[in-house]
Amino acid sequence: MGDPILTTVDWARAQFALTAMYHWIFVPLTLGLSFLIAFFESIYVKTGNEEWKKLTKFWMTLFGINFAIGVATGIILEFQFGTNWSNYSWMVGDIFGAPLAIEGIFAFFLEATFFAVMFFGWHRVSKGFHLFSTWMVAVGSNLSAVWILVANGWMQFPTGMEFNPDTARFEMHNFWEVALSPVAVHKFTHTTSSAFLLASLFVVGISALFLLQERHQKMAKRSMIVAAVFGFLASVFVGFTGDEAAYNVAQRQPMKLAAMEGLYVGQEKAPVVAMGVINAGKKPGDDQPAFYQEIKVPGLLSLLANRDPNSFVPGINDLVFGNAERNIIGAEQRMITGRVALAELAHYKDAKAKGDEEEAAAALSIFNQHKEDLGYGYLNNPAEAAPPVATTFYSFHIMVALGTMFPMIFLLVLYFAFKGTLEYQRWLNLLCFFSIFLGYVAQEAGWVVAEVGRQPWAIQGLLPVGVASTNIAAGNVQTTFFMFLTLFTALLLAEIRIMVKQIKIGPEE
Amino acid sequence: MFSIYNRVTGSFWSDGGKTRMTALPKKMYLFYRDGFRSMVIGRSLWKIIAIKLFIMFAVLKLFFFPNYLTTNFNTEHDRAEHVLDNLTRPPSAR
Repeated sequence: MGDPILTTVDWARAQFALTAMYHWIFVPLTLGLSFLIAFFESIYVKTGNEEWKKLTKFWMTLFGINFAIGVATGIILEFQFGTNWSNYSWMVGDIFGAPLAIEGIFAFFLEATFFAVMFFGWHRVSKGFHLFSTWMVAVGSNLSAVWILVANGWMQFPTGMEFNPDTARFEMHNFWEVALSPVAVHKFTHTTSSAFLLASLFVVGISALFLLQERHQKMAKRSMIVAAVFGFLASVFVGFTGDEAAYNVAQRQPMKLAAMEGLYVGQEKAPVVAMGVINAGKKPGDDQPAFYQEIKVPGLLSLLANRDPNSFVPGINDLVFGNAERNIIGAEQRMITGRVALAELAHYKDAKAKGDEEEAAAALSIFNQHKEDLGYGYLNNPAEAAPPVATTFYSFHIMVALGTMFPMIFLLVLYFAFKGTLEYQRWLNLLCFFSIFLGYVAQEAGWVVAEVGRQPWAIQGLLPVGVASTNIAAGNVQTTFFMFLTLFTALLLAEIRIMVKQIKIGPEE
Repeated sequence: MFSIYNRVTGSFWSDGGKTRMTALPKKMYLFYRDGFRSMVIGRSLWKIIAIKLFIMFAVLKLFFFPNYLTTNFNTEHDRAEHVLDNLTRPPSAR
């Protein structure tokens, strides 16, 4: 096996993944910590106890550091759309261009106004208005995540649009179908609630560090109780939205679900693999075992995927090669339909150029009958329709395992807090501190499942990443990849350095 | 807008709502000016934000991230044609 040659699309994908993953270090903490600060300040306003004010100001400082370092890192993704993903950005511009711009402006003014009051206004505005501003920052920050997550949901489940072959654009014909598609709704609720969970882990973890160091213990325990309650509720909600999200994946992206569970051969009473070592060398249709070792829970995948423990769940082989008995059309068959769609699209274009309206209408009619499988027409072999299975499987299982552990940590914190012995639980405080890192691992793993699991598609079933990208030299993208790596690493180091310094100083005594 | 704030919070400024609207721009200016002046850690953060935005917009965007379609095609029609060409290119030609 020779060295792999990375093409433009590989570098473009790597660059986008790098940027998105770095961006997602800053965003979830902003989304979740903003609400925790609002809770802390609400307690201060309600009780009038100055210690809650000091506590609020301390967490607000850490929030400000994270916000300042992370702000505008997402804009780099937009740069990449225009340069590396020009075909894609042209095709979806009608759907997402205006709402994303409006959202950006709205978020900027909301944040610029209330953010300033939150930080500068402690002695300049009334307590009530200051609290109102803090809540507005929390609400505004979370609202600013809406449309980008709707856009991501649409890419996973394109709905409410029509492809216009004259402009080469997807045009929105039903705003509400796009904005309220079940995939988009669950994408938003699952993502934001997981951000609340992460921020709770952050507050619990830093507070646990104070307990370990025997510093600011009163403030630390107060912070931990509020964050543990919020974190536990968020964890339960994350579990609920995760289940709904997985159900949607089963219905709309069955290939992704099969990859998440390493299921190659579809079956009734399909099991969930609780733990397993996957055979990364296995290809669709070969005779190799899917796992070297695995522990299964029979019927659970069928229950999660179809709400019926006896139901059939298609595997990767069924979705690649088809399964006539189960009435599943595989990628192999879809490639034929997709190539007809592609040929007729080309035919339509040529007929329009010649001015032959009759021929153009006939080509368009055939194109419309086959356009559902347009994306499959670009594949060279049906196995390309399957995502990288090992990466998807491990990311999903890491996310779920950590997501199951976090609520237990919150419950333990609450148990020992109410018992009055939290500061003596060294093992738990160490676990809490280390869980900050685990929280980030779970966050990033979740995005890897969502994005790697839907490969090869930029837009599910319609546009593979290879066609979505721009025809530019791989070297250009490679250069900027390393520039971003340097820039983001510098920003991350700056954030950690400033945060550590501020945590060492601690809250006002 | 500020009357809404008054109803929600009792008053906008901590002077109990005595501030007249005519003084509002000056108040806002002083609010931001004093806020920025009293910053401690915020000064370092603003420096980081400024450097970051400079690198992003004055270096990366300007020299490394031109909008491919806007730079290479003059009209919407030409851009649509180019994308359509890419879409209809057969797999063997990719």
